[in-house]
Amino acid sequence: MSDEDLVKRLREGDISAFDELYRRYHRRLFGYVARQVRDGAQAEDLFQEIFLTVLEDRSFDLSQGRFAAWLFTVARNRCLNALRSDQRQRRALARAADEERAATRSPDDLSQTLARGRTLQGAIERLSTAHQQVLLLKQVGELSYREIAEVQQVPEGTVKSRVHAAIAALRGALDEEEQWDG
Amino acid sequence: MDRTDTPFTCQDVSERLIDYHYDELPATERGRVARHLARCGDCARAYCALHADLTALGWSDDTARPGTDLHQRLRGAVERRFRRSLWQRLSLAVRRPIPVYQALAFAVLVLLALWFALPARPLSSTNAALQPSDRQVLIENYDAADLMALSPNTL
Repeated sequence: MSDEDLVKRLREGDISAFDELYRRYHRRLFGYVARQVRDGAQAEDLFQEIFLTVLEDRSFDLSQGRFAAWLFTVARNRCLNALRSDQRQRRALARAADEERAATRSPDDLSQTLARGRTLQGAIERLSTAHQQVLLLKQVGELSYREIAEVQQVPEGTVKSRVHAAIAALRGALDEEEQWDG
Repeated sequence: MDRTDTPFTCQDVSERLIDYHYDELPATERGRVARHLARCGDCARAYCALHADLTALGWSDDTARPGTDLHQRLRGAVERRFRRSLWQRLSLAVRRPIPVYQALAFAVLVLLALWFALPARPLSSTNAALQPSDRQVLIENYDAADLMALSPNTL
C-alpha cells in the first residue's frame, strides 16, 4: 500500500495506518532531524511536530503522491526554523546513546568506531551547508533525486550534480581528516 | 553513439558509480556497470571504497535513533486527533459493504432455516392430493370437444 493510501486511511480513522507510516519513516526522518539539531530531546520534539503537521495538513493533494518529498520539505523547514531560533545545535551528541552502544561493543571496536565517527563528523562539518543538506537528504533521508528536487525546488539534474559534488567534497575532506589524525 | 550492448569503459563506470550505489541508473546502464565491476578489479575496488565512505555516513544513525517511547507518545497524539467518534464508527458499520461470499452463506442459512422450520408437505401433484369426490367433478367436467380446438400437430 502506498504512503498516500496510508495517510488517507489514517484520516478515515484507521490508526494502524499510522504504525506503518512510522515504521517506514521513523529512522530516516529522525536521522535527518537529529543530524541537524544535534540534540536528541529537541529532535524528538521536532520529529513529533513534523509528523503531526504533515498528517493533519489537508492542503496537500494525496492523489499527486510524493508523500516522502512532502514530509522532508516540512522537516527541512522546521529544522531551519529551529536552528535559527536556537543555537543549541552545537551540543554534543547524546551521551546516553554513546553509553548504550558502549555496553554492547568491545573497547577496541568502540575506540575505532568513535575515532571514525569523529573523523567523519569533522569531514561533514567542513562541507558547505548546501552539500551537507543534499547528503543528508540522500544518505540519511534515503530520498531519490526526484524527491530531493521537490524538497529543494530545483531541477533533478541540479540535485544529481550537487550529490556528486558533495560526495567528492566529503571524500576529499575525509582524506584530509585522516591525514591530520595520522 | 551509446549502444546498450557496448561494454562500459572504466571512465564510463567511474562517472556512474555514485548513481549505481544509489540505484538511480536506468536498468540498462545498471546492468552494464554491474558487468564491468564483475570483471574489472580497479573499478570494483573503487566502488568498495565509495561504498565504505557512504556507509560510514550512516554510522551516526546509531546515535540518531528515536527513544523507544516516542512511537507510543506520537501514537497517542495521533489517536486523539484521528480516532473516529462513536457516531462515525456506527455509520461506517452500517455502510460497510457485505462481501459476496458472506451474502451467499447468509442466503444458504436462511434457506436451510426455512426448510427445517416450515411443516412438511406431501410431494404429490395437485391431482394426487385430490379427494375421490374432487376427481369425480373433474371427470364430469371433461369435454372432448375442447381438444378439437387444438391443431392436429399438437395432437
